[in-house]
Amino acid sequence: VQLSSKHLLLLAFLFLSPSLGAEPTTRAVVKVNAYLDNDNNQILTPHTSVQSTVSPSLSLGAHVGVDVVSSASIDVISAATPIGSFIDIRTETGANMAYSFSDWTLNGAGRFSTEDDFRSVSGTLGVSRELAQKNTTAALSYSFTDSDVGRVGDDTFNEDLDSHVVNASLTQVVNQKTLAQIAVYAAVFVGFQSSPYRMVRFNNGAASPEQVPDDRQRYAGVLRVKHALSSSSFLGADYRFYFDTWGLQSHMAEISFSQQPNKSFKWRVRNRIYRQSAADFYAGTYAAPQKFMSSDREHSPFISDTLGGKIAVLAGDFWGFEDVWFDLKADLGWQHFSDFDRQPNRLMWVTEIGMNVGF
Amino acid sequence: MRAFSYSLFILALSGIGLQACQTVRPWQREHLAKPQMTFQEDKDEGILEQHTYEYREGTIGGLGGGGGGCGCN
Repeated sequence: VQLSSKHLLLLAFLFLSPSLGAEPTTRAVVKVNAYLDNDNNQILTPHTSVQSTVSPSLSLGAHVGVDVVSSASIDVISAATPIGSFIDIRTETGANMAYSFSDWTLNGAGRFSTEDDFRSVSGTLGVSRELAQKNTTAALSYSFTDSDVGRVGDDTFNEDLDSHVVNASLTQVVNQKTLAQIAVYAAVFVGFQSSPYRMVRFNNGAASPEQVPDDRQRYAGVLRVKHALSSSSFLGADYRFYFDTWGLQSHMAEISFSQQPNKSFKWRVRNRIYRQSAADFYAGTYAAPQKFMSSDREHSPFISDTLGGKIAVLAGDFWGFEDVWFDLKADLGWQHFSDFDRQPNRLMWVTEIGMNVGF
Repeated sequence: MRAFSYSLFILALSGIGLQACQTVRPWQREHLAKPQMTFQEDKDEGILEQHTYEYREGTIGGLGGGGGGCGCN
């Protein structure tokens, strides 16, 4: 994986940026995330980011991440041109900034990602304002993403996908121990949204390429609560309801408990449950061709449960840095697909190690 | 119609909650100032996590996150 000189210069600038302002703070994060499942997918994701407060009103950040994907999943072995397995590398770079004045904060971010058959450029502009003696924060942002979809081994295949996303949120201090947030997400996706490889099957054994609508409007409402049980124990609860114009609906609920028994150790456990309905045009197999057809299990009805734990340890003096945290996370997920007979259950295991340095 | 009913329910619940809010002064924020009381205590973890869910679920949004890609695997 090659990073351009622009990316390296940006990261170097952020590492050096403390010299530009008074009493700056900079945090650098390195993480390695490993995903495995019982459908022969392995994804290794090294990720690093730097966030620096250049001055009391200006902060800058950047990140670089790489997904190294190795797959021999059901989707891959039943693709239009079965190849048995593949290895793909996806690289993402991004930068962000935030400028604060009075009770207002303006922020912007850009992101670029590329892989063998997909290229994506995204930009976000946002504004937030603190109200009611900083007891309320209202935020609004807009993102635009332009994606080019290709197909490995077919240079003539070139499709476009655009997305427009608006996020709005209201965060409220409820009392001295409780914080609540309500958020709304609205998005319009226009363009090629099928998989260039995925096939659907007919009852007579024939197969045909997946075909989904070019237009998709997506909406979500989120309610989040944080509550301090004491000065060292915390509860979190999230709920999201989602629906879109393809007929998909979902409910997601997550509850977490975290504790920091002393200055140098903290831990967290959580459980996330999720349930979705099927897209209007989804079927495991079709009796006859239809305008829209998908046998993608992510468009099928399913439930899932994820149980996870995380610990973080303050390393103390480490290579001359005093503020260094190491963390380790493990999540075990289970999905049950009630209308996908090729693999009704998927087990997923995520492990993540990280280092967070402040200077 | 059901979708809008759920949305209205969330909004109504939030409205009721806001009615019960207190004005908390800066010197009363000992608990609220803890990193664990932010909605994105570990931003990088959140980005990686939402990216995984985007690939593995048919629905997205409202919880931050990032990344693109075809999710063909």
